[in-house]
This record gives sequence, C-alpha cells and structure tokens, in this order.
Amino acid sequence: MEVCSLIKYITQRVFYSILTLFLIVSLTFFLLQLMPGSPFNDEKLAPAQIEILNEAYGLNDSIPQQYVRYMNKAIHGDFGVSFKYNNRPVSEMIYSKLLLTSQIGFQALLFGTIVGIFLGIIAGLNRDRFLDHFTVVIAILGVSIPSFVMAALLQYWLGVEARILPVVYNKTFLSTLMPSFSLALFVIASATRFMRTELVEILNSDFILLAKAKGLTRKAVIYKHALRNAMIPVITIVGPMTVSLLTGSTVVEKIFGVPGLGNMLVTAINTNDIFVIMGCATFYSAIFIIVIFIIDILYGIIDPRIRLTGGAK
Amino acid sequence: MNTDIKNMPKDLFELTPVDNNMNEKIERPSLTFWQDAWARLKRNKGAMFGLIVMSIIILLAIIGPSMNSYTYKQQIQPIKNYTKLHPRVQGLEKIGIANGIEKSGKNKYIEKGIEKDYFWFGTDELGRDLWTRVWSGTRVSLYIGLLAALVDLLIGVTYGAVSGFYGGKVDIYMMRVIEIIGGIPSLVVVTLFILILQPGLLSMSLAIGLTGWMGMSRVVRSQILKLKNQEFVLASRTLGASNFQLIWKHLIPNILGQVIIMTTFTIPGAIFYEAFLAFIGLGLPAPNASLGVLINDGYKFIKAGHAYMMVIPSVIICLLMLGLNLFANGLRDALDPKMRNL
Repeated sequence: MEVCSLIKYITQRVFYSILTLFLIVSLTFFLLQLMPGSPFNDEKLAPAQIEILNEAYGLNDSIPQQYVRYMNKAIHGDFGVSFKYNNRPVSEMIYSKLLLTSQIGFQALLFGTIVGIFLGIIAGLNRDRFLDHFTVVIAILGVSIPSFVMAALLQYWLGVEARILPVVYNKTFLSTLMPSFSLALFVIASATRFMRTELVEILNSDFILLAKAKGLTRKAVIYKHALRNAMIPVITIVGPMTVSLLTGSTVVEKIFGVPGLGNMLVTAINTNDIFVIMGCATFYSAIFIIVIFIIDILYGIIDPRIRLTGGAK
Repeated sequence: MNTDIKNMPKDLFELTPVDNNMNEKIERPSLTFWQDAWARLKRNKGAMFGLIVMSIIILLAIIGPSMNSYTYKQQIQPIKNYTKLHPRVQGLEKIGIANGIEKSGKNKYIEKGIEKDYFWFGTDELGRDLWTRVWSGTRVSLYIGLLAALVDLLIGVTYGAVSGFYGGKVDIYMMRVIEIIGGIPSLVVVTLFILILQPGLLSMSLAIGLTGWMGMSRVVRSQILKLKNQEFVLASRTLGASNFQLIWKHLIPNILGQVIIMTTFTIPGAIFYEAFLAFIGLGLPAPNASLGVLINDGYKFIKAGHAYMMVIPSVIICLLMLGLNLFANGLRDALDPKMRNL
C-alpha cells in the first residue's frame, strides 16, 4: 500500500514537473517575442541584410509557426543557435559552460553547508548565550548582504588592495575561491539558521528527556540522539539553495570574469541573443524542478512521517 | 518559639475579611494584541537596533537630497573640476578620514582650487554630487520595495484567501497553479519581465511583486483553513454575513499578524532584486539613481582607485537590508511567538 502511494505520488509529480517545464518554455518564448529590439541591431547591417538574416533564422514566419517549430526542436534537445557566436548550438554552449559554474557552485555549497551546520550546532548548544547571539548575527548578516555586493567588495579588498587572491578568474583553483565564498555566504546563513532551530527544537523534545533520564552522558545525548535527528531536515534547504547558487552566480561570475553560465546569460541579455536567453531560462527551471523533486522524494524516504500527498505545503 | 500548633492561644489569630468581589479583580492592565506585541518587540534588542538603523536610513532618504543645493542629476559646472572628487567632510578631515585625499596622495580639492567645497560622499565621474544621488537612490530603492510588497500583498492575500475559504475543488486547482508557477525560478521571470517592460520604477515593482506572491498566498490559505471552521465565523454566517464580508471583515483581520510578517520580508527581497537587475545591466535608465544603479556605476571605477563610489552605496544597501531583516525577525517573534525560529 505504501509503495503504491509512493509510486502514485511520483508519477503525479513527474506529470506536474513536465507540465511546468512546458509552460515555462512557452512562457519564455512568448515573452521574448514581445521583447523590443532585434538580435540584428548592428548599425553596420543594411536593411536588406537584416531581412536576409531574419529569413534565414525563420524570424519572418508567424509566431505560432515559430512556436511549433521551436517546441518541436526543443523536445529533441535542440534549443536553437546563438545569433552572436557563429551559430553555435545553445545546448552545446550551455554544456560547455556548465562544468565551471557547477564547480564554483558545488564548492560554495560544500563550504557553506559544513560551516553553516557547524555554526548552527554551536548556536543551538549554547542557546541564549554569547556564542548563540554571535552566530545569529553572522547568519543575519549573511542573509542581508547581497552576494554580488560581497563579491565586489571582496574583489576590491582581497584582490586589488591586499593582493592575496587573483582579482579575476584565471583557470586556477585559487581564483575560484572568491566567487565561491561570495556565493557561500548565503548558504552559511541559511544552514546556520536552520540547524539552530532544529537543534533547539529537538533538545526540548521528549525523547531527549528520556535519553537523559536513562542516564546517558551529555556527549552521548548530543551526538547519538540530538545531532542525528537535527541533521536530516537540512536536506530540505539544499534544494532551494542549489537554485539560488545557480541564479546568484549570474552576477558573481560577471564580476570575477568567470566564463560560466551566468556570465553567458548576462551577455545574452545585453545583446538580445534570444535563443541563448531561452535556453538558459529553460535550463535553470529544469534544474530547479529536478532538484526540488529529488529532495521531496528523498525527504519522504528518510522521514516517513512526512505526508507525501498532503495538499497543504 | 512555640511550635505546638494545637496549644496556641486563640487570640494570636485574627480573622481576615474575605471579599468575594476581589477574587476576580484584574491586577495588571489588560493589553490588546498590538500592545502586547509592541511590548515584546521593545524587549528584542536586535529588532530595536534594526528599527533604529531603518529609521535613520529612511529619514536620510527623505531629507538627505535636500541637505545641499545640488540635485541628483545636476552636473556641477565646470564639470572638469568636479569629477571623481573623493569624500570630504568638515571636521572629519582633521582626523585623517574623509579628507578628500586620494590614495596616490593628491588632493583634487586643492589642485582644482575648490577648497571651500565639501562633498560628503564625493562626486561621480560625471561631476554629480554622490550624497544627493545616494539618498535619492535609497528613496527609489525603498519605493520599489514598498510597491512590490503592495503588489505582493494584493495578489497574495486575495488568492490565498479565496483558495482557503472556498476549499474543495477550487482550492485544489488554485494550489496546483501555484505549484506550477512556483516551479519557475523567480530571477528568470523578473529578468524576462524587465527585458520586455523596459526598466522603470513601476515595471520593476510590478515584475518583482508578480513573482513573489506565492509564499504570501500559501500562508494566508493555511491560516484561513485553520480559522474558517471556528465558531465566530459560524456565528456571523448565521447572522447573514456574506462570503466577502466573512473573508475581509472577520478572517483577514485575524491573520493580519502573519500578513505583516510576510510583507516585511518581501521588502528586503525586492530591494535585492532591484540591485541585482541594475547589476546585470537592466537598471533604471540613465539620470535616475537607485542603490543598485549606484553600486553598478561605482563598480566600474573600483580598480582605478575610486572605491568610495561603490563602497558607500554598498554599505547603505547592506545596512538597510540588515535593518529590515532584523526588524522583520523581531516582528515575527513579537506577533507570532509560536513561529519563533531565530
């Protein structure tokens, strides 16, 4: 019975995910049709040349025709070509930039969650004492400072002034540290907040009281009972964080000159490169949906008390 | 000391008069919900700090631009004398900070023969006074934040209230729609909207507000689901209240606390989005300033030794966000002690 409901839940979710993705692709397509300006805004091009280009890329067809053609290709994994970069296929462009972006994002996620969990534990165990207030201040600062402001200031102080780290990305590991750290700030803050809340809640629960009553040492209570249970829900914030790392990297990559996905999107926006914008939007949304999906399922498996089909969420 | 109670003389005891009317006497003044919340908020040091920071910034945003004779788009003539002047403040210059001296050691104020001028935040590359620009920029950022929160409030509360109140099929379908819309990363949508609508005050607040209302409507819905079967709703329904009246006169006032909490968290979010858009080149058009635009403009000169252009608006946006977040946290603890989590 339980396996049955899990399967039903998964198929339902897959269906909605596909529907969402379809809607997003359609939405971005029609929105971008409304966008003023053309990808061929170059003054050097004569009207006749623009006409030829429009014809060649099928931009003169009616919008429904273009839509059907785009969707048909998109289903087969072809997201059009870039107008600016010698007709390179968008999917290939995304693929080639993905590695670097995910490396920086992964470093940020790893560093951020480890530091965040650690700080959260310190805060939770020292509730309402100095260490607690101190970590809470760090957490609020982390949420309050926008990642790109942090990135620009870090670049100035550590890169330009102190010359400790490379100012821009130069293919070395050292030069990925600053971008990762500026992204990690937010991760640290959320993980700390979350971990602290969980730990405080668990330390006040009945089973901890029981463990203490059994005569376990404080150490055993904390390591064996409290921490284990407090760690599980941290998974839930990894999903939204992955996405905010991806989208947050847009500006951070621009600041540090990292040739990643975010940088590509910003360039595409500034040059009206429609298919690249669409490709990126679709890709980001797909990642978002997939990550949330995986985490929902994982969470249900780890903690069966969570009602999978609960309407309210 | 005689401890033998039984043998104590009777005259040691005295009968106290019992006044039954005093049993029900309320010793402390009774507080309304809002008075209670305010008392709790006042005790929260973080929230009070946030409130003070926020108030100072808002005050400066209101009076700052008119504290000197320049306007935010005025290029001070002759322009060549007034570009990229470093911050210089009366008094502070004597102790070596904000004295207008650049890192290379030269003082442009003296070089250009304008020693009598003081630009508290310096001037930018086009000879505009940054003090005025920063505070009118703060004004714009706050304005966008508030407007976005308003859009968020209107759509989110209405949607959530209708969904929760009517329940059943309506609720299921409305929640499915939210699930689908919530599946789109909001940054992508905001960016797309701005690409089409063209950057402007209204379009920005609209785009940001349109993407942020899902959280609000979820909260409103779940609260209404909790409340709608309670006796007071039944009572006023029996007295003939219409659904519209029930929602707006009886249910929404009861969840006002939650709605206010959500709104206070929306404002810093909107300010962040605005700055983000400015930074990817989708900011307000040229002479206008917002904190994001200023940070972006200043960033271009950071490597040329003019860090103040970016650092000042950055610090202000961070302080503003910090103040708003601290205040919102405190407000949440004060209005809804059950939700306390930081």
